[in-house]
Amino acid sequence: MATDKSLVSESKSSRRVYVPVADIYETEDLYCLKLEMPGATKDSIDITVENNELLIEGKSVLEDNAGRQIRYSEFSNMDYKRSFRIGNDIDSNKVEAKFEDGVLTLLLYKHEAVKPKKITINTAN
Amino acid sequence: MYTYNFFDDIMNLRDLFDDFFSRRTSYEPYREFPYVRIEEEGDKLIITSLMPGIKADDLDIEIIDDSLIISGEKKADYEEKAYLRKERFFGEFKKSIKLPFRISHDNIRADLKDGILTIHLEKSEDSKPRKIDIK
Repeated sequence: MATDKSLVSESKSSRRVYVPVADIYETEDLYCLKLEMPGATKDSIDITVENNELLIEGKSVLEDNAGRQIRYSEFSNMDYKRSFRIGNDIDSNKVEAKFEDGVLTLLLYKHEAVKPKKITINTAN
Repeated sequence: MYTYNFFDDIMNLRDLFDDFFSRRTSYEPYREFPYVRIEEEGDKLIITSLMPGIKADDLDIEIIDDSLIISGEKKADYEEKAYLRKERFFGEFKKSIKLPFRISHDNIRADLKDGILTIHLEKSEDSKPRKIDIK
């Protein structure tokens, strides 16, 4: 009998790499990125800034499902990976990250030198 | 038990082509939000759902007959800023999931953590298998 069950369940439960969706906005001081990575945890996310590239990687840690039988599934176990090209205006030493409710928020601060500077005009009295 | 079905292979091939031609940026959005998984373990049923950015207060879970209804609102967290990219989805949603059997209304537990909703359900007494004695 052609019982390919092991093959079938293996291919269905294999991990897939997803590109997390992102919102990005810019202000005078920083860039803010919000990425949706449900199932990832604070410890499973790696953020690296190298050679003008920001790389975000994460693993989703779902509840252990050994001994369970999947009846229906609309998603696979996920790994997340997305990279962004960043300009010279970002200070790689000043990056803040927060992970809440499956949403990763990154604050990339700009170098002091590139921030707009207001010049006051001295009036000669 | 798994019985070999010729059409499974055809479906796999179709999925492969669909993936290739309509590659999405993410786990989005060829199914209705939110994406769910139903698992069975003995008399228990575990439903897992992806809910990034949703607070427990904005979520409603109901059981009507043998259907589980998840509804709620994902509130936009947009700020008055110059956006370079807007890829995330916000809004109200409602999804009804037909359960494979009736469930007990007493032992229901739902947890929301790191954007994952997990609902633990148990079979109701009358849908559990029952052995009948022959007299």
